[in-house]
Amino acid sequence: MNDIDQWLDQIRVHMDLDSETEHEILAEIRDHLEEAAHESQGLDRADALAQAAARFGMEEEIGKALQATHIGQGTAEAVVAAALPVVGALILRWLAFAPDGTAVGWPQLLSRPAFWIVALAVLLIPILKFERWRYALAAWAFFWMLTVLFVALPSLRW
Amino acid sequence: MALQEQIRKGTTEIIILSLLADLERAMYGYEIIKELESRSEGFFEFKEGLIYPRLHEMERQGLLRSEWRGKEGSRKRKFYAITTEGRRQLARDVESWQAFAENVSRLLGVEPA
Repeated sequence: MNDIDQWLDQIRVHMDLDSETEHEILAEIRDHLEEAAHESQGLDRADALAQAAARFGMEEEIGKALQATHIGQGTAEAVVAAALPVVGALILRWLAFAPDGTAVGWPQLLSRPAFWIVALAVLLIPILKFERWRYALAAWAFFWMLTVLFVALPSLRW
Repeated sequence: MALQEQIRKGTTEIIILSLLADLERAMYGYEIIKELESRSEGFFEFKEGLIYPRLHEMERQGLLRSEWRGKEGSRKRKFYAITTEGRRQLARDVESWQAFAENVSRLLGVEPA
């Protein structure tokens, strides 16, 4: 572990975010410190990094400010990612069942524009709005799982 | 907190938006800081790390968008560009700033710069 790693760890202890967000934040800070140290002329690497870190600011202050900025972002996305396919599936429930309770088959369902509008909305809304594309894909996979269950097991009546 | 420090804190966002709109290209954090210091002839010098929470917050608000650039296996760098919403916000903020500066100058009995 080098000086930068130790310094980044001191920022990390003041953050409690998902690992991907923390990794991105620390990668950005590392890049900053590396470039700042590289531009310091006449100093050895350890002194250049120490100078760059001093200009960067106090680890606690920076870590807490980053934590305050990002707290809840991933959680909010995850909640919406879970809720959106359920809402889409509830709309599909209305599409997949006739008023008398009989389920339509795949051909009829797939031929309805409303079905594709719902399916695309469940995919596109998270992709356009979420920072993490994996949440969008997870939401879409969940949506399709519910859809298949609706159509394949109409006897459950949901 | 000194007045100058309060003003600097309150104007960081508009200055970042203005810089990115003016240069018409994406920039990374360190580059933004150095450009601000250079353009302000040292007036805009601050703890460098505090720009990142601000950039991330502006991105969250939709004023900036970011993109990691760099080849696989080499060091990657996060670039920020102003969005259409960021340009709208900049126009609103510049208008507010002009009105603010004129009014404060009038109250203080000094000519606006």
